[in-house]
Amino acid sequence: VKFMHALGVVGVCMAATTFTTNCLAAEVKVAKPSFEGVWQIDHAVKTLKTADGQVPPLNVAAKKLYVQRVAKFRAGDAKSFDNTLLCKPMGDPRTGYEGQPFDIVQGADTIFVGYTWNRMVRFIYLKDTHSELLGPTYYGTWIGKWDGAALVFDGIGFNDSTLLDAAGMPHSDDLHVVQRLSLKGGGNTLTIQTTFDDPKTFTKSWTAKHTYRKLPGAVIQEDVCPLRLKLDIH
Amino acid sequence: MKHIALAVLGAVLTMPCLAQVSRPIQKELETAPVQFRAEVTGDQSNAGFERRTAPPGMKPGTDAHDFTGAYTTAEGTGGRPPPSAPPPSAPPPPSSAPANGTSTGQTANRGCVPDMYVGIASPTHVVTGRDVMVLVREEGHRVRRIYINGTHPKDLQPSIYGHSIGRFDGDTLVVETVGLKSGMTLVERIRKVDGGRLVETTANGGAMLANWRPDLNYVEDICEDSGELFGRQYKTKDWQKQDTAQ
Repeated sequence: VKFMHALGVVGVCMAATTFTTNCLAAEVKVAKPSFEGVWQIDHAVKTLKTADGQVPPLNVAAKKLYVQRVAKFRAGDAKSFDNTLLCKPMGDPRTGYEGQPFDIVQGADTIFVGYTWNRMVRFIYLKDTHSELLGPTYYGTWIGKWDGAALVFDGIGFNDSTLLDAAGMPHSDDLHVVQRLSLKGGGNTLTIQTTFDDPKTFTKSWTAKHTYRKLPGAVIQEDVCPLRLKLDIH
Repeated sequence: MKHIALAVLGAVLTMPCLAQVSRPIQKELETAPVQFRAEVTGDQSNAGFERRTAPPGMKPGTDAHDFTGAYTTAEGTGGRPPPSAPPPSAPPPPSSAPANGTSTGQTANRGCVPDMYVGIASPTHVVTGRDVMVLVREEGHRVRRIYINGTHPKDLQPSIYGHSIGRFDGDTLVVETVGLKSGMTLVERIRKVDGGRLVETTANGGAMLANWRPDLNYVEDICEDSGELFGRQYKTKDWQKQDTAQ
């Protein structure tokens, strides 16, 4: 009798556990939303701030340089440090801060982010580890994974010629960026929480948070930087 | 008696739940795009695609409507039309597009101004989404978007890539592009062949083949670096030394 009772209890417990796990798994599976569409940031970013509105924790050297650049930027003299004015790639995550629309195309195991600015792109491969490091490159090497209904992107391999904002915030080749994408408002509002980790530039890791609105029916307009800026690049 | 009932209840509840756990996992394994089933390993750092080798044992996906993956021009075809098609050197007739996967000649790819291209060729990365299929050629970051079952906008302004919509005719994606600067209407037919190891694009009677390359991830090829490849020769701003010197 005791054995039967124990067996029954074990069975019920296993059923409950399995049911719970299964339901959670089913919920995660069902809850994977579509991030596909055209998006635009609510407020374009020129000087990047932490999620609570503070200046990021730059180390002494980086802070000194950034202060100089911000002064130049505000004086309308960004050419001395901003290569995008020569149509060099803007890099990530800055391109998502500038205010132009971008789209997300969501494949089963690959996410595409396509920016308006000079047709820049980023591919995020949904897998667990960075198996291939090609770079450093302007847009880095990205992997991603689902965390419930959120997508988490992990980027490394950025070259240090790009900036984190239009005012010239620097970073090094050691930059590690983690972005957490989540939806609300019926899927019409995208929140991207970005964590920056770069020991050569910052005294500690820090997080920024931005929201984007969906632009239903919009298409990404064709942008050719050298034509827009009337540059002759051969 | 109640213990027996409890045991039976536990067993009854347990078995289907366990079965439900295993089902989606197996299904996911069967349907997952194959290029992500195995890790890509080997000496690939700082290498162009020519140095990378395909991981052994990988097979193309079975979904004929999902072109997601990387492709390069199939060896032996050179991306050129088959013998039955017009020779690649022949000038395209007016208001037609080339069928060899090269540019349309609307604009030269000079001054880092991209040009239109046809289909999937060397090296092109495809992501198939719910409503959009995007094709990205590494060279010059040339991006085309095909809106699946979409419609053309009424107020379309002429552009280099125009506006493309696609619908499936069986397992063939039929793509119509309008709004090109030339004013032409381009129709392409794209389908997987050889079990997905190749993708064939036909347009205007010509055809081109591209190899599915599961070993390739997207690599930046930035024209604005004046021909420098893969972003490796970017101009480094050694701001830390610069700052120290100040």
